[in-house]
Parts: sequence; C-alpha cells; structure tokens
Amino acid sequence: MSDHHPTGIKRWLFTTNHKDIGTLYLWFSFTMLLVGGAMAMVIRAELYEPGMQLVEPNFFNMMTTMHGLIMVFGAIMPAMVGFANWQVPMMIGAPDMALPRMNNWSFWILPFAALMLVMPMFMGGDFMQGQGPAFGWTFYEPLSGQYNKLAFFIFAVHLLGFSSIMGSINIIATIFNMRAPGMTLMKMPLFVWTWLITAFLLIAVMPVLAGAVTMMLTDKYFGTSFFDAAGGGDPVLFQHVFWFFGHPEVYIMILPAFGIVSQIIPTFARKPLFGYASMVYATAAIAFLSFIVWAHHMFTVGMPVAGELYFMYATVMIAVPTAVKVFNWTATMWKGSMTFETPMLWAIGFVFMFTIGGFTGLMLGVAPTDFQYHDTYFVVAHFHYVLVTGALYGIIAGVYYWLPKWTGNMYSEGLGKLHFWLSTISVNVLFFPQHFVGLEGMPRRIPDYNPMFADWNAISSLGGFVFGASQILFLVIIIMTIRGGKKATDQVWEGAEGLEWTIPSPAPYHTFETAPEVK
Amino acid sequence: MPDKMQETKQDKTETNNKRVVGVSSLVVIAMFGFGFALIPLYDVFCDVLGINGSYQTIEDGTYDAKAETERALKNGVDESRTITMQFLVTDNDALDLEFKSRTKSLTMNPGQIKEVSYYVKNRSNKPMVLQAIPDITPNMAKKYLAKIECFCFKKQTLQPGEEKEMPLRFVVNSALPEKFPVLTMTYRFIDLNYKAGVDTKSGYLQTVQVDSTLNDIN
Repeated sequence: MSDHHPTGIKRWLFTTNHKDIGTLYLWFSFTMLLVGGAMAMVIRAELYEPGMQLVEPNFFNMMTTMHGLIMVFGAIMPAMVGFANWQVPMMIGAPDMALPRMNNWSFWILPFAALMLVMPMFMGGDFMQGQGPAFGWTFYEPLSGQYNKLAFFIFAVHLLGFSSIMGSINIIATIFNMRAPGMTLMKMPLFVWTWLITAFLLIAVMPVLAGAVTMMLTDKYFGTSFFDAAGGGDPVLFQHVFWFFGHPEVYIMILPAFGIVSQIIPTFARKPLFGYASMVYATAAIAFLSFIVWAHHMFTVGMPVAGELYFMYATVMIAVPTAVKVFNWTATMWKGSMTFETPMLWAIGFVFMFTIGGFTGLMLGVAPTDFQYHDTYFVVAHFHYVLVTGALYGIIAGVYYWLPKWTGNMYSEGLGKLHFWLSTISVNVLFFPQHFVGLEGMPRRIPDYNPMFADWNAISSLGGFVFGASQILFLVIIIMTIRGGKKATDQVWEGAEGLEWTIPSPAPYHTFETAPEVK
Repeated sequence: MPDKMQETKQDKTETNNKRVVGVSSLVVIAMFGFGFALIPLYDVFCDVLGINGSYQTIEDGTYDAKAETERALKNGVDESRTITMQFLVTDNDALDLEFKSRTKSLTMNPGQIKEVSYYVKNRSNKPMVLQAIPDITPNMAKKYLAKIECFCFKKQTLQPGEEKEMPLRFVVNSALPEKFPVLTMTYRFIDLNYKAGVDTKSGYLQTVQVDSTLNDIN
C-alpha cells in the first residue's frame, strides 16, 4: 500500500489523514492535561494547609479558572475528537473523514486558541502578578466584565468554538455519508452513535456560547448593556445563556466516554452489549433532556418556586436514561467470561465511580438540598467524580484499548495495571474527602479556609499529588508502547468485534479504500 | 464500468456532504441567533412570572409611575392592619461613596402614601454618574409596590464632595397579601463611569456615550 505523504513537520502541518489528525488531537489533549494538571497541583499545594502559603489570592483564582478552562476545552473535548478521528472511519469502514481539509483546519486552530487563552498569564510584572482570567471557568458577569484582558479570553473561546463546530460537522457528514455498504445506523458501534449525538449537541450549543461571549465583548468595548445592570441589562441573564450552553456541554464531555466504555465492556466480558437499542435511545434521551435543565446550576439565584420545581423534576428525570446505561453495562458483564486487562479495569472503574458522581448529582439536583450544597466543595467533588473518574477514565480506558491497534505494539500490562491502581486509589483519596468538607460548608474557589477543614484538605492534597504523578507513568507507558513491545495481533483482544479489528496492527496509513461489506 | 460506478458513488457522497455542511451551518447560525433571542424571551418570562419586571421597566425607561400609582391606590387604605417597611442600602465597594437611608424602618397601613429620604455623598475627587439599582424582598411582593417618585428613575450626577438628599415617595397596594407583613427595600449605586474607568484617558467622554443607551424618565 502506497502512503505518500510529506515527512517531518510538514507531514503534521499539512496532513488531511484522519489518523494523523487523531494523533495530533490526542497529543494536544495530553499536553493540556499535563498543563491543567500542574495548575491543579498548585491549587492542592496551597490548600494543603489553612492560611496563605505559596501563592497570591489572585494567582490562586487564576489557577482554578485556567485549570477548569484548560481541562474542559483543552484536554477532555480534544481527546474525544481525537478518538472520533481515529476510530469513526475505521469503525464504519470509511477511508477517511468526509471533509479532510476542514479536519486539518479544525485541529490547527486549537493550539493558537490555547495560546491566546494562556498568554495573559505571562503579562504581569512577574509570574505571580500574571493577568490571566481569574473569574472562574463559568466567567459569570459582572465580575468577568471587569477583567482588563477580556478580549484574549473571548477570542480564544470563539476559536475553540469554531474548531469544535467544524469538527462536529465533519463527524456528522462522515457518519451519515461514509458508512460501508450494509452498515445501517442501528448496526453502528455504540461509540459512533454517542459521537453522532455529541456532534449534534456541539453544533447546537457552541454557537450559544459564542453569542454569550460576543455579548460580553460588546458590553465591554462597544457600550452595549446586555449584562450590565447600570445600562438596563441583567447579570442573571448571563447565567441563563451560559448554562444553556453549559449543561449540554457536560454531556458533550461524557457521552463519547459512554461510547468508549460500551465498546470495551463487551470485548472483555465476551458478550454482545446488553440492550444495544436502549443504549442508543438512552443517549438520545440524555441529549434531549440536557437542553431543558440548565437552571439547576442556579437554583440559588432567586427563581420562583414553580421554576425551581420544574428544573428540579426535569433534572432528576435524567437519572432514568443514565440508569438504563449503567444497568446495561452491568448486565453485559453479568455471567460473561470476564478478564481484567487494563482497559477493562479502567472501564469498570468508570462505571463504578461515574455512578457515585451521578448519585451526588441527584443530591444537587434536588432544589432544597442544593441551597445547602451550592458553591461548596460538595459540588467540586461531584463534578470531578463525573469528569475525572468519568470522562477522563473513559479516555484512558480507550487509549489502552486502541493503543495496540494504533501503534502495533502491546503496552506493558503490569505497568498499565499499576497505573490503574495508583490512579484509582489516589483519585478517591483526592476527591472523596471533598464531599465531607463540602457538606460541612467549605466554599469552593477560596484559597484559604477555616482550620476545621484542615485534616480532610491535607488528605485530599496528598491524594492529588499521587494522582498527578501517576499520570506521568501514563506518559511513560505510552512512549514505551510507541517505541516497541510485544507485537499486537490484528484482532488484539480475544473478544474484540468490529471493523477496526479486521485490519492489520498497526493500522495502515490508508484503510478501507475499498469499502468492506457489512452483513 | 466498475470505474464509472465508483465515480457516481463519489459524486453522490460529495453532494451529500455538501448537504450536511449546509444544513449544519444553518443550525449553527440559527443557534447563534437563538442565544440573542434568549434576551427578549428572558424578559417575557420575567414578566409572566412577575420577577424582575418593574426594575427593568425602571432601567429601560418604560416604568409608568402614574399608572402604577393609580393601580396601587384604587383599593384605598387598609386601616385594619399595618405592615413594616425597611429601607436598606447596599455598599458598592468600587465607589468612594457615602450612601444611607434616613429612615431605617416605618410602620404603615397599606394604601398610604409615604415619603422617605436617602443621603448620598461623593467622597472621591472625581465626578460620578450614578444609577440606583432597586431590589425588594420578598420578591413576590414587588408588584404591590408603586413608586411615585424615586431617585432611581434617573441617573444622579455628583461632583467631587457633593452631597444630596434624595426622596423616595411610594405607596403599597392594600391588596398586598397578608403573608407579607414586612417588606424590605434596598438600593445599590452603580457608577456609569465604570466602563470608561477601564480607559482612564478617554474618561468622561466615553461615559456620555454609555449614558445615551439609558432613557431617562421625566
């Protein structure tokens, strides 16, 4: 098979190959994960003891803000797009993405957007005086409107939005138009389904986010008053517009992880996925519900009781399709011939700990209790259980699962398992105590705290340092696997089924130039 | 022959791709517009649910003080009960301003017209253009309160060191439900110079430009 392509840096700059672009996305995401992770380490180091030790309060606020923005927009979302690029064409028997040149563009916008986002951090006199955004990743008005380098932030968000929207259109076009003959929609692997639905969510809500930041831009520089009370605007409006984007956004981050886990569990349980159709419908139901529950993020803003009740019931309803998924994964494992290779460990970890995050979500979704939990560490614990042990665990599981197909080499099973156990123990030491301090009333986003919270915070910080360090091990494992190791077979896993396992390992540069026949 | 079939298939895929791109782009543009459409929708919801309504009408200049007062007065004075009105102010940390209510609290019959006074002094050495932002607790009592005259109806310009007594005349509709025995009003001043404050050089001129987006009542 001839695979002519430029070499060196030009290969990566000009590539339109879905595998190259997938690789670029995944490395970009890993870099951002380490950058955002380093910021989390600063946060945990400062919170190790009560009182101010290491950083200035504004620097701390900048760390929490940038950590959130980088992890959401730089690490989790691009990683999922990276998986889509690598896997969707191989799973539906397509030679490449539908719009390869746009694909190149969607990726290459990202590094510049990230650069623009972090640049103000280096614009102070010294590093501690950095002028990065320090208003929380949700950038609530009116606080964010007072930020003197707002334009950097706004245009970075615009660029990230462009990238996501183009990536999504590409994925929709690929899935609709490039499937191999016989690959009907209801035969598609679940990962492809979850990404199709995610792509629809993205093109529906990223423009709303773009609208919100555009309003901030004109408020700040062109004298409008969308959110400025002094001019007849309303800061609460900002929260509504933001969360109309923000709630679907959290499903954008988790749905592809659902898809990855739905590929892995049947492989290692050696049974087909239980309730395939119900999984598809549950995913669609979650996506639909995500549009009508946004104000549960703002129960305490001052809503009429009718509004509180509506958003509470709608929110709690999401537990139904989500439970369908969790029960289906469990039923897939039931009486299966299970083995526990590294991807399966991460996938089971995902199911278990994502469910913990789901339950705390139910607690937060109940309006009267939310008044107690709002803006405390309980919320922090909740969304880290669903995003770290949920989305990130899904990503790591997927990397271990498909790495042999991508590189042609098996990773070290021993090191992979070490990585899993180190991470899983430390991540619980890190986040579980945050439930306790949250219930006792420790506010989030604060660099100093009441000494009564000291013990749990110290424990949480220690867990954080171990969890952070164990991701360096992940990097080492990946590099070792790329450089060599036991050769992977074409099928890689005994129980693996699907088109991507019919091609050689490593996957050739061009695959499925002649479409396979799916029966 | 197979070559030709291949070609037609490719053409078809390209047409389909164009269609997906077209439709998706329309969705993107529509949703960008929807973000802005949320603003009027939000106002409609606030009106229907009775939240935020009167403030916005004060701020955007459509508050009809006369009509509101007539509506509040038509039920007469309810002498069978009294309510307590409390008058608070909220400090704005960003402003070097002395701001207080002369009357902290008063007891009155619903339907009576009352007047209280607020004191404000610009302690800084810069002129200020201020807009008062009102609030009332409990929220649902808002529609029973009519402001006959209020310093929040218009912007207040204060020279350095200037002080002012500002009246608030109001009436509470005697249809006010009995579950609201205490109403708490609060005001907070926002500096309309604040946007200009980012750019100290252009200062006052920019303020005037911002002001033009405000419609004064009276």
